[in-house]
Amino acid sequence: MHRKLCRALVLLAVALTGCDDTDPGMGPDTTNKPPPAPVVLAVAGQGEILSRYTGEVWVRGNVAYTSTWGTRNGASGNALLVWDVSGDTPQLRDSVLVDQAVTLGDVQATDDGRYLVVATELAPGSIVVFDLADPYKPRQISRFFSPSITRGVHTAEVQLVNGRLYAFLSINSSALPSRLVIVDLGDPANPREVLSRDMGRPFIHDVFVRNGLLFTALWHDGMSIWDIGGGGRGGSPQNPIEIGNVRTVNGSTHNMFWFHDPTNNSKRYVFVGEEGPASIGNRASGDLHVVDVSDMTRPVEVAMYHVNDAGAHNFSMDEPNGMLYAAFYNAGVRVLDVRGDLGSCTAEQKVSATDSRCDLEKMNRVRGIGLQDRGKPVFVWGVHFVGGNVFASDMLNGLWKLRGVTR
Amino acid sequence: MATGLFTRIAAQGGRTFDEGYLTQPMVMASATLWNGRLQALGIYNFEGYTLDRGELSPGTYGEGYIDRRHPHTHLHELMLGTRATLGAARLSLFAGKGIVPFGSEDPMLRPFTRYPANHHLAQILERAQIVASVRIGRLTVEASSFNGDEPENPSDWPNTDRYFDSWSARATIAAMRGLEGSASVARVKSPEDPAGFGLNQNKWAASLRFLATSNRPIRYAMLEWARTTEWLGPRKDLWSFASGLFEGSARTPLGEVALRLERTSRPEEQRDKTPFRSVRPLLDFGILGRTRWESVNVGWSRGFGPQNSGSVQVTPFIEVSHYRARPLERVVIASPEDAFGGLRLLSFSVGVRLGLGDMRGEMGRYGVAASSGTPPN
Repeated sequence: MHRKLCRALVLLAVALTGCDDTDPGMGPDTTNKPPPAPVVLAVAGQGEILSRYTGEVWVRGNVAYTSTWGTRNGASGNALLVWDVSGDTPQLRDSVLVDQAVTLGDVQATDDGRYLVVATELAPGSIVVFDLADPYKPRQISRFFSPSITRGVHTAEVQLVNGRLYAFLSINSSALPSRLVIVDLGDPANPREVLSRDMGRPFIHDVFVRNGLLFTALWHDGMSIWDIGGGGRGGSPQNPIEIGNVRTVNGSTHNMFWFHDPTNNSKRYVFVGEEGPASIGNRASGDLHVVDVSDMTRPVEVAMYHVNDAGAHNFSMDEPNGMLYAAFYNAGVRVLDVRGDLGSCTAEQKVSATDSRCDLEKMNRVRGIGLQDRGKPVFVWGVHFVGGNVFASDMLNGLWKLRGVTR
Repeated sequence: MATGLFTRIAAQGGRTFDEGYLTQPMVMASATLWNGRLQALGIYNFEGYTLDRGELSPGTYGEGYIDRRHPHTHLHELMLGTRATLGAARLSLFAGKGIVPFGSEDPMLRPFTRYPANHHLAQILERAQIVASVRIGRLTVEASSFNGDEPENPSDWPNTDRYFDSWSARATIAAMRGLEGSASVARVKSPEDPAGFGLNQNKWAASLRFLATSNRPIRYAMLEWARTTEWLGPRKDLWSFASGLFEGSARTPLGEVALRLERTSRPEEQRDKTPFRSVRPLLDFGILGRTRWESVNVGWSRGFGPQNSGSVQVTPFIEVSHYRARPLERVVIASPEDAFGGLRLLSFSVGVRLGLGDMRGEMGRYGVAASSGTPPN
């Protein structure tokens, strides 16, 4: 009853203010229909890998690429695996071994599908660029080393900035200052370092790049937003200019996704993963945080999502449907409905009486849970939503293909 | 003193390692100044030169080494302090770099040359600290404020921006002749990340120790318990590591014999290619599971020649150990099996301890906390 009253009051307030919001289309959920209960994501198939620990996943079309991590039964995480995912069960098609690597952390294909970039860790760190003329047979065309990245590349993201391809490398595997390194991949056969800048305490863990803005996950220094060509401050990949910063609750800022909702053109929220301490393979910690970036100079955390005894890791989105897919390590995959206003909630929906952030679970935003029904431990590192399916890289078991959630 | 050591470690169904070391090479010195009003204690340790790869020691971990004991820093100890009396209380105040009042005696002064696995659970070493001690009758209480960061290499110094961010306290009671009990508590901020952002530790330890004060056969015995929990921000008690240890030595006509029984749990950490080094700070502050190490150790040693300060003291020894590692979690990502090829290990060590001059009787107890006894080597 109280919830209905509050909703009515909110509706009235919105009506009276004429929805005067700088972000068109935003507003509370105006339907009275009760939200659907979370579904169990249907598993289409599994490509089992027990010889190595699986790292990140990237999918393009009918081809998936997974990286490998650490050492398992004496086998290093130096293998890039290539999968045919056209059917329900991922089929391993090929693998590529990368010299001198213990871990291949990140793997990502460029938007045009021509290249694949893989990060290597520990020392000597590098990125390896593959040509995907035959997507099932990645062909190495260059490998970039630099004194700036010798310690190891923990994560790497490739994105276009004003039409030119760059790789953004997070270097943090040392007691030395952590570092962002930006590499020009305009000529992928000849990578060229254009920036090396220390940042993050103690780590810079990951970045997110979109529309000429760079978001950096700086652990206990929170999330910073930089103009690298789209922020109107004169920034560039060679000279990022900081626009704003937010310290998310608990720190350990690990990864981000800036949501663009095509249904209403809203660009209000950045989802931030917190990687708390984990006993890898067993249990993890860390929440998902929602940051309102309506004012990029003053981003503010407005909501969160918590899973007991589990922690957030990497994200992917089904933006047309407003669904966020989050890897949650031992808690599998979680799907959250993130369309609409995430920063307005009733008192009961707040985290606590002393914490004014909204709790997405209390707001009934959870739409799906995956890989908690397998009868064996999972530890999901990454997710990638493509074509109605979500692909989950499970450190312990390999690659899963699950059906996505429909609205 | 210095010890020449040869060790063979063979894993059941796995690999065999043969290694030799010059371990625990060090010079100790002490002095009293200004008519005894000031006391200085120092130890220079040469392990940074002789033990860079670490000493094979299954179950041990810390300071970026795993299954190898790390070399100690060059300046192992330099403490300066003074004493006073206030009524029935005897007081002392020491400052410098040294051993924190926590847990039990440094393994270097105990019967076995090779270290137990619980070194980083039961001792806190090589910190810049201020130690205040009070002794009233049989009871001694020590308290220390120190830097939490562990050394990163043998040349490393305590980080100035970490001074006094951690503390410890130890109470010791001398129950009767040769028998004492002690209990310790410590809170250590981010020992493994020098920048101070890493996991913090709450530590507890308790021990019961007997040191022979007469010529009886049983020379030394100790029963020890230690526990460390790690936490970060609001996430308390992330995981814990515990240790139970019994150690003793006796004099026989053939020499000193010693026994150590130990059960200690530890984190598994991401190893580099060696594979006896771990990444520091731990990537994303995650561990890779926990293992429990159980070991049975027996040793023999016998001093030859005159054992006085004016002579070179020569003490050959033999130590045999059996280790078994068990996973404590459903998944242990990085297993010691990756390094050894098996989880049951047999170790055989033979060596000679050489000493010249007066060997200090104990380490890590300063001023009025110092006792007269020591575990015999």
